Amino acid sequence: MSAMPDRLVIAHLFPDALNLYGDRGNIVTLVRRATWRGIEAEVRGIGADGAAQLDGADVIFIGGGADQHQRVVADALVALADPLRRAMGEGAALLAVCAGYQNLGHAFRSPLVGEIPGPGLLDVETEMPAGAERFVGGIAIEVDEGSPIAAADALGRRRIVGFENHSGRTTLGPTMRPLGRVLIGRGNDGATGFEGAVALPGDGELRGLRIGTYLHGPLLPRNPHLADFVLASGLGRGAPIALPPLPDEAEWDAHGRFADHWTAVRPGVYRRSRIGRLRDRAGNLIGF
Amino acid sequence: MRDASALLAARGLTWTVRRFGRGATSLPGLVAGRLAPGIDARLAADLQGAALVTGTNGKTSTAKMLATIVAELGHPVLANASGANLRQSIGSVFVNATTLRGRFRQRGTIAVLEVDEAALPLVRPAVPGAVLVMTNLFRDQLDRFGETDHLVRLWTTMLGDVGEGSTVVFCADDPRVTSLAGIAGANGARLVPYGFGDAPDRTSAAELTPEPVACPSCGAELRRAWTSIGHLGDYACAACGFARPTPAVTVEIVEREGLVGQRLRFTWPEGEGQTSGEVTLRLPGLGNAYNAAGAVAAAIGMGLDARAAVRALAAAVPPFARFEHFTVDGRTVVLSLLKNPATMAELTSVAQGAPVDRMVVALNDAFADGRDVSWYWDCSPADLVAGRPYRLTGRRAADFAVRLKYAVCEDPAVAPPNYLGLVDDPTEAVDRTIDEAPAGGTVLIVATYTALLGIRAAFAERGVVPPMPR
Repeated sequence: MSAMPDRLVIAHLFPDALNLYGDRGNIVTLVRRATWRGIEAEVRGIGADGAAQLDGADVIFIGGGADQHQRVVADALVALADPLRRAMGEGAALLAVCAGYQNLGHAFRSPLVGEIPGPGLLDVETEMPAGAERFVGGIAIEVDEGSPIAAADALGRRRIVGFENHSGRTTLGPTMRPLGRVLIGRGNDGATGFEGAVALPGDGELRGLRIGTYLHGPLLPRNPHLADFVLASGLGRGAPIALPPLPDEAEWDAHGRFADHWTAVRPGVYRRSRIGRLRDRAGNLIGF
Repeated sequence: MRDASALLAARGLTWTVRRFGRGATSLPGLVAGRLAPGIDARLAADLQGAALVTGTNGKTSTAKMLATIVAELGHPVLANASGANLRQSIGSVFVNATTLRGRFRQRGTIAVLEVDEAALPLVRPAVPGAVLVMTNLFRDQLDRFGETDHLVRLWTTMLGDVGEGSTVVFCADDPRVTSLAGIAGANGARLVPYGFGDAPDRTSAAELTPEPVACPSCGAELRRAWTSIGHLGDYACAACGFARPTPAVTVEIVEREGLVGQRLRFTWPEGEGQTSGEVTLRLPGLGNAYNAAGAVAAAIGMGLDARAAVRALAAAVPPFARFEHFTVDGRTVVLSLLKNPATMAELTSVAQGAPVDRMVVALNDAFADGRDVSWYWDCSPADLVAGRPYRLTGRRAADFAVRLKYAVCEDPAVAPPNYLGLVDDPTEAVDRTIDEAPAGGTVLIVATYTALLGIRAAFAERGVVPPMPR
C-alpha cells in the first residue's frame, strides 16, 4: 500500500458558469473528507485560460449549468481539452455532473443550441430532443456487485442517491459502462434503465477514474462511498489508495431517508425496459 | 349585454361557491371569460390605475406595500390573494368588484395585482394599461417552472409588445430584469428603475454565492462594483457597455432595528433634481428595502405623489409568514419563510443583528417547497444558526444536518456546537424549542413553504395566530 499523501488538489472547472443547485457541495465534501484525514486540500477554480492550473490536479470536477450556457462552456473547453486529457492520463479522477457530463462527451445536440462537438473526455453523446420530457425528481441507482465504489464502504453498500433534473438523452460509447442500474427515477435516457457513465482507473487509455452522471447538486455528501472512491482514485493517481474510515452516521442517515422518501413518492415513474439491455451507438450489446 | 349576462352568471357562481364554504378564486373569472371573451380587459378599462407586480422574489411584499400606499393615499384598492395570480383568478377579482354594467362599485379603484412570473404574459392582456413592476429573476424553484432562461424567453416575447404609453418599473440592480425592461424601453415605454443608491452595508457572513449571470446583452462576464443580495448589485459589461442604469428611485438603510424593522431613506426625481425622504418600515432586511423601493417607484409610475408614498410605508405590515411575530407562553416567536438562497442570506443577515435565543430550521421538499432544496449547499448555513442553539426538523432535516456538519465540524466525530438534534415532527420540534427558551426570549422559526404551513396551522388551532388568510 502506498503512503498517505498529505495534499489534495481539486480543479473545479468553470465554477462561475457551472454552479447550480448545490454543486459546490461536492467540492465542500471532498475538501472536508480530505482534511478530516489530515490531508491538506487546495481548490483551484479553472476558467477557459486555466490550463496551467490543471498541472498536479488530483480530482477534476465539473458541475451543472443552464441549457443556454452549453455553447459558452463548449467554446471554453476547446482550449482545455488537451490539458484535461493529459491530467487524466496522469491519473487525475474526473467527476462530471449534469451539464458537465453532457459537455465532456463527444457531442451535444439540442434544438436550442444546435450541435456542439465536445472533447470526448467521456465516451458518451447526448441529444436533447425538442419537447423531450424533463426528468425531475429523486433518483436511486445501484452499482454492480463487486464495484470498487461499493468496496469503498465498510459495509459494501451499493446504492447511490441523488436528484435528477434534465431533458438530455445520453448514449454510452464502447469504452464506458453505466455508473449504475436505476432503482427509482429515469437516468441516462429513461428507457435503458441505466444512469451515468464510468471508466474505472486503468480502463481505456486514460489512467484516471472518470465518472459522468445526471445526479446533480450535492451528490457526494449523500454518498460517502462514492466521495471516498473519487478521493482515493485521485490521490492514488489511478491506483486507489486505502483511506481510513470516517464516522458517516449523519451521511448514511440522510442517504437512507432520501431514498425512503423518493421510493414512496416516485413509484412507477421509471419502467425498466423489458429486457433491460444497454447498447452502444453502433447497436452493440454492451451490458445488462 | 353579453358582458352583463356573463357577469350575472359569474356572480351567481361566486355566491353558490361561497355558500358551500369555498373560496371563489378562479371559477367565476373562468366562466365570465368563456361567456364573454376579453371581459377582464373591458372591466379593467374602468380602473383608475393598475399595477402588475411580478418577479421571483419579493412580489408578495412589494404588492402588499404598494397596496398600502394606494390605500393610505385614499384610493379604493383591489388586490388579489397571494397565490391567486393566474388570469382567471384576476378575472374573478374584477367580476366580484364590479356592477352588472361593468363599472367598479367603488369609483376610482386602483388594482394592485401580484402575478406569477410564469403567468405574466397571459395576465397582461387582461389588464392592458397596467404599470408593470418587475422585481427580480433569481434562479430558484428550478424544477417548478423550468429554467430561468425559459422565463426570460417568455418575458422577452411579451415585452416586445409593450411600448409607448406603457410604464415599466424594474429593479436596476438585477441585470436580467434591466435587460428585459430595455426591450420595452426601446419600444418607447417609460422606464422607472429603482435600486440601492450605494453599496448597502451588509453582514459579510451573509454572503450569498452570486449565481452565474453573464451579460444578458452579449454573454461576456459582468463586472461587479458591489453586490447586495446574490446577483443583484452594480454591474457593467466591459465587452458591450451594458451597465446598471441610474435608478430613478434609490433606497438606503439608515438604521437596522433587528427582526422588527428598519429606517429607510429614499430619493426620487423632483423637478430638475432628486429629493429625499425617510420612513421607518416595520419589515427588516435588504430584501424589504428593495421591496419598499419597488413600491415607491411603482407609485411614481402610477402618477401618485412620491413623498406621500414614502410616508405611507410606515403603515405597511409584514405579509403572511414574513417575519410574522406572535407570543407563545411568554416567548416571542418569529416565523419566516425560507425558500431559496436569497431568502436564506436575508434571514441570516437579519437574524445576526437581532436578539434570538433559539432557532428551528424546518425543511420540506414537497412540490410547493421546490422539490430540490439542495440550494443550501450554495449558502452559508452555519451563519444562519451561528451562536444560538438550534433544532432541525422536516423531511430534509437529515440532509441539512449533513450540510452543517460539513460547514462547521473540524472533527467529524464531534457534533456541531449548539445543535439540539433532529426531531421528525415540525410541531413537536417547535414546541420543545419554545419550552426550552428563556422566559421573555425570542425563538426564530425559519421554514420552507409546506413546513411553515403546518407549523402555522398548529399555532392557529391554538388561537395564537389568526388562521391563514384565504
